Amino acid sequence: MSETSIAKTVYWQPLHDMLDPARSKTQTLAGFDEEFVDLADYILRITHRIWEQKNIGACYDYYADYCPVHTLGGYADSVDVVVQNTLKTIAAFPDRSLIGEDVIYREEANDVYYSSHRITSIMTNKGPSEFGAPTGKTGRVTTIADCMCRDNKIFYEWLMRDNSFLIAQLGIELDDAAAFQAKFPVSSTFTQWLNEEYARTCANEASRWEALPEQDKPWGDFAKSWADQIFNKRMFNKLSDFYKPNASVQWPGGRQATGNAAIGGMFIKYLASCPDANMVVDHICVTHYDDNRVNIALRWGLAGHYNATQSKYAQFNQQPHYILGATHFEIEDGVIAKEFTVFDEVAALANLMRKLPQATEA
Amino acid sequence: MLSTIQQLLEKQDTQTLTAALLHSSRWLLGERLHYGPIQQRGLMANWLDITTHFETVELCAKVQSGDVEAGVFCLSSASTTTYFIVECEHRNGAIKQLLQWVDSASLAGRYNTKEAPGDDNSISLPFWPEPDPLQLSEFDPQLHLMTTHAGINDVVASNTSDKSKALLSQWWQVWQGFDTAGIKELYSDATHISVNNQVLNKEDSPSVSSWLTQLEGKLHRRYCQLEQVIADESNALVRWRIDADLKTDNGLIRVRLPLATMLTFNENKITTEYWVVDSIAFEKRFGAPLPF
Repeated sequence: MSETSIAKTVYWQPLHDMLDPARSKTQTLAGFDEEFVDLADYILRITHRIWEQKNIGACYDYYADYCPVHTLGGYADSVDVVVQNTLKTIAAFPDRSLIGEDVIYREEANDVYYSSHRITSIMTNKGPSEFGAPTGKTGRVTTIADCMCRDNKIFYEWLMRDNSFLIAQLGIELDDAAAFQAKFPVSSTFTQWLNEEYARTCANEASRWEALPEQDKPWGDFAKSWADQIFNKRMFNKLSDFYKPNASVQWPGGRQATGNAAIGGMFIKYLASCPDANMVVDHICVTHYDDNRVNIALRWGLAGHYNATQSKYAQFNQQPHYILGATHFEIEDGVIAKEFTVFDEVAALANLMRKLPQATEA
Repeated sequence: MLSTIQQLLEKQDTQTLTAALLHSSRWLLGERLHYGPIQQRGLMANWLDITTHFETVELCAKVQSGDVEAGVFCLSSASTTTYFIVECEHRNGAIKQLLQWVDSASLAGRYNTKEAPGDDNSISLPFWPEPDPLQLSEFDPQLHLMTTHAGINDVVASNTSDKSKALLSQWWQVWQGFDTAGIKELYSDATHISVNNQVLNKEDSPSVSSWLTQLEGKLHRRYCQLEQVIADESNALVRWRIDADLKTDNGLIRVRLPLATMLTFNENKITTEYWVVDSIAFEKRFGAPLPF
C-alpha cells in the first residue's frame, strides 16, 4: 500500500481496523515493534492504548527515558513526568477521548520518524485541572502533537493545544485560566528555552531540520512563502495565491474564517496583538494524498512585542511575546482548502503575566 | 446514506446509523460539532423524541456528488411543518461527516405548544446544543476588483454541467449581489420558496424580493460567502453564510448567519427552494434574535 492510500485509510478508518490494521506492512520501521505497519499506525495505536484504554504506564514502553516535551506552558524531559501529567489530565477529564484526525509524517535520517498528529478530544471536566476547579462541563479541543520517534519510542515532542477554545466551552474566562496557571512556578529550563526561542524567532533563524525530499521541496517553499508573505510581510492581497476562494481556516479560541476576505480579516486582527511579529517555520512534513491532494504539517514560532487589542490587557503592552504553533494544511489543486492552526492562548497570556519571555535586546 | 437518517426517524433504527458512524465521525447540529458515541447517542435520542411530535417524515429533495449526499426533510403534523437539511459524507457504508441544519424555531413552537399551551413564543428548546465558541473578526466586505471572492464556478465540482453552473451563478448573483431584477428570470409564479416554514409569495408572507430586501436592509455591511455547492442536473445544496452587523438592544454587533439552501430546477427556472436557518443556534450564539 502506498503512502497515498495510507492517508486515505486514516481518514476513513473504523476503530476495529485502527486497533488491528488490515493493511500490510509498508514501512521498514527499523527498531519498532513488528506489529506496527507504518508510522501512522504506530502513532494512532499507542495514543489509543495510553489515553483511551487508560494504559498510562504504556508511556514507559513508548517514550524514551529522557524525552524533552515542549509546550508553551511548561517543559518536561522525563518519562516519569509524562506519566504523571497523563494521569493528572485523565483524572481531571476522565472520559477524554482522543480521535485521530490526521497523521502527517516523514522518515528522516538515522532511522528517525517525525510525526505530526492532529487530534480532536472530547472531555468532561470532572476534576481540578490546569485551568482551575472542575466545572462539570464537556468540551472539545484540537491538539497537534509533533513527535520524533526512533526504536519504538518517542524521544522528542512539541505539544500544541487550543486551550482557549476548550475553556470557552467549560465556562472559564481566559484571564482566569491564565491567572491560575501563572501562579505556578516554571522551571529554569523552560524559561531558558522560551527566551532562546523568542530570540531565535525574532532573528528569523529557523531551527535546524533536515532538508525535505526532492518531491516535497515545492511544498516546503509554499509553506515558507505563506509565513513570509502573509505573516512577515503582511501582504494580504497574496491570500489568493495560497487559499482556495472557499478555503476554511480554524484558528484558536473559536476563530473560524471561510474565504479570503474573512481569512484576511482574521489574520489582521490577530497580528494587531503583535504588530511587529515575525514567524519562522521550524519544521515541515508532507503527506501525499490523492492526485491533487497533499497534506502539510508545519511547526512554527511567532515572536514580537505584545499590543493589547482589549484594554484589560494594556498592562502587557510592549512585552516580549512568543507563540509556539502548529498548522495542518489540506491542499487541493495547489492551494489550501482547509487549515487547522493550533496554539495555546491560555499559556501565552500566562507567560505575559509571568513577564516571559525575557528579552535580551541587542 | 440519507436512508440511515430516514430509518432513524421513521423506524427508530439507531443501530444502522450507529454501525455507519466511525470513531472519528463528526455530527453538526445546532452549530456544534459532536464527536464520539456518547454525544452521538444523545443526538439520536433527541431526534427520536422530536419524531414523536410529528406524524410524517418526507424526503422532499436530494442531491449527490462524489462522496457527498444531501437532502431536505420535512417533518409534518396537522398544524406544523418543520424542514431540516442533512449533508452526509460517506464511503463504503461509513459516514465520516453528518451535518444538519434545522428550523429550530418551528420545532420549538411545536414543543412549547404541546408542553405549555398559551405559553409565550419563546424559541428555547431544552435539549438544543450550545453552539461552538466563535470569534468573529472584522473585515472589508466590499467586493474590490483586485481581491478574490468565491463564485459558483470556484466552488462547484468541475464535472457539473454548464447549465447547472449558469443557473446557480444567476442565483448567487441575486442573493449575494442584491440583484432584485434577476428574481423574475429565476423564479416563476409556481416556484415553492420557503424560509424555514414560511412560504414566500403567498398571502400574508413576503415576496421573494421583499425577503431579499429584508436581508440587505437588516443585515448591515453584509458579506456573503459560499462554503460548498453540491449539484447535479436538477438539484443543488448551497451552503453559505452571511457575516454582517446587526442592530440589537445592546448596540451594533457582528454576527454570522449560516445558511443551507436546497434548490431544485428545471428549464432554467427554480422549481423549489428551501432555506433552513437555525434560529435558536443564532440566538444562543449572539444573544439576539434573528431580525426577520
